[in-house]
Amino acid sequence: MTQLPIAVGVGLRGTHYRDFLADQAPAVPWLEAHSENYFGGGAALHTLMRIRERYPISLHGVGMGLASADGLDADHLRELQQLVATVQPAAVSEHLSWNRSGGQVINDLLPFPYTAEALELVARNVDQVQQALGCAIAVENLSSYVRFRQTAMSEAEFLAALVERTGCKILLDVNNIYVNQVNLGIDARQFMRALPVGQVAEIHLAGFSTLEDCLVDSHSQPVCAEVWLLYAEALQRFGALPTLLEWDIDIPPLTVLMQEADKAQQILQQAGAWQPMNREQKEHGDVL
Amino acid sequence: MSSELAQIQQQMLNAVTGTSTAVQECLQSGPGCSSERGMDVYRNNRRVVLKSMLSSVYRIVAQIVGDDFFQALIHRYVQTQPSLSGNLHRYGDKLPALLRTMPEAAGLPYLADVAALEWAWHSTYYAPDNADFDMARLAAVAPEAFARLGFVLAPALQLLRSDYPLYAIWQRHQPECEVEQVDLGMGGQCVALWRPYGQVQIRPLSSGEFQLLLALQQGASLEQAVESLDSLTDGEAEVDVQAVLGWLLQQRMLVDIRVAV
Amino acid sequence: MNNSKLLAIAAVSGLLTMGVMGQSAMAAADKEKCYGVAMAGQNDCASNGHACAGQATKDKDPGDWKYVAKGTCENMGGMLNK
Repeated sequence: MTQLPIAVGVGLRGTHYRDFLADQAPAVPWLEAHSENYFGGGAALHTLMRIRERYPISLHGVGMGLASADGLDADHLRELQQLVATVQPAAVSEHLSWNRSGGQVINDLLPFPYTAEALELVARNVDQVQQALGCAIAVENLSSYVRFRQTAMSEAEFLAALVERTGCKILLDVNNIYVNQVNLGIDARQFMRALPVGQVAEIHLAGFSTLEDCLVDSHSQPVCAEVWLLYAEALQRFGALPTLLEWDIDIPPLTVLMQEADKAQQILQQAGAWQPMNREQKEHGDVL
Repeated sequence: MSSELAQIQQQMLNAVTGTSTAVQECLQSGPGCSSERGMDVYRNNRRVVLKSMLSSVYRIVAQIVGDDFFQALIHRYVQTQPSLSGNLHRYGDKLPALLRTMPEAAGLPYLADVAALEWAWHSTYYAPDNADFDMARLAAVAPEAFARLGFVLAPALQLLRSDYPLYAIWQRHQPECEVEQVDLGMGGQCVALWRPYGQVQIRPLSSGEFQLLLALQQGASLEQAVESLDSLTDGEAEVDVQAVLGWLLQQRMLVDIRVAV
Repeated sequence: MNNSKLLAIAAVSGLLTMGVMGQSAMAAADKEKCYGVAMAGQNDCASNGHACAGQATKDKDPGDWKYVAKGTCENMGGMLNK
């Protein structure tokens, strides 16, 4: 499997398909597509395959529910497996969340208590996905709106342990840790310190909206100042990494999205000269 | 033998779908977001996401019944129908069934069939691709076996039969359509949906064509499929079988043949 | 031989005569056109948190059911008016 370039990509959304297929291909280094949108065949998959001829693609799942206690949905995994075989993406990622219980699905990214029992289960599910796909996946931290009394470790400690157990990688969403800092009182910087250097494969950036006191990770806004700061710190700790700018609601024209991505690109370029701390790894991208 | 994690997830699911608040026992409020507010975010998100999915599929139903009715309809659907897949594109298949049982929709008896057509359209759009038919497979069959041949048809092909003029109603709701009225008394129509490449195609079928294609799709041999036409009245049973097979071939709906043993 | 069998044999023979000519051979450019560009998928909504359900899209309960479908059709046996 190839790798993502260490540059700032953007999320591939339906409103921009024609832009990416235009004679003049927009100068974006890579794109991330939501896997489930391309399950099956027809125009959706064909459009992705045409875009893939021009850009490296990362497949980002929103529906696997790695932490579902009932186990994975075999059909869902089979469809992802088929898509990965067809697209041969530069990277594959999923979320540290559950979505299925008693046969019902909530089409969302739901949090759970970070316990030894949950670690056992998620590690088993991640193993199953990685075996089916024949490659390591990156697992993304969540923005959560609730936390559980039963939690025995932090989400970052949980991710670090998961990497240890399964050889998966981490997709660090900087906006999510900021949202959790405001909503749930976690410490974003402590979160990053708890993640193992060399195991973070990709970074996500996005903007949130507010619902009274609560920040909602709606991907509907430019990236906020605090998140830019955290991004620079993340790069300092983990080294220069492929970075994605997400925008999912009130999606602006591609040019606006690319301007926002440019801001990230400048920060990333400055970080390019930095070496990650305590880095014994070879090249960062070679993990996927 | 349900684990603690499984129990918490079941409770949280019940809270998100609005059937129980027991999960609150397990939750702690954060400084910016109380646990009640947090669950509101999930509950709201579930409804918005599922309704958005339904609105994207059932555009003609929405046009027919108007926004107030449609919003109430999808609200009821989301309250009563769980999602069963992590792929949102799978949500909404039971709306035709809901419409059939709703007294509020009884005044529009064709509405459920329109909904079934829209779900079929959506399913055809995302159906798996299929390869071109290999004519050499057919050339290798001895002519004596022709009648016993079965045909594997494209997964994208969908066949619908309605007691109402379904195709005419569909046409009437296309943006470029200039037809002002559909005569609901004109009788039932059968419709085929298929997808030679990426775009969904639609055409009306005669009762005979529908019966022949349905029998083939369900695995009948060609001879059995032709025999099944006997159940139709004389006028309806007139089918150009060769033309139907030719159409299947040209439109990339013939995937493979099955030779009976 | 019964009629159904004869019909079936004739139809398959006809299909063979159509042969590969019956399969539309398409140039790559035409194929692109036949596939077209995809519609936006719905799964973006389920992506990272609450893509489609920020404050802007707070779902409202339409309340008690007070609607009866009238649709574009005025009466049952009648016409479907535009």
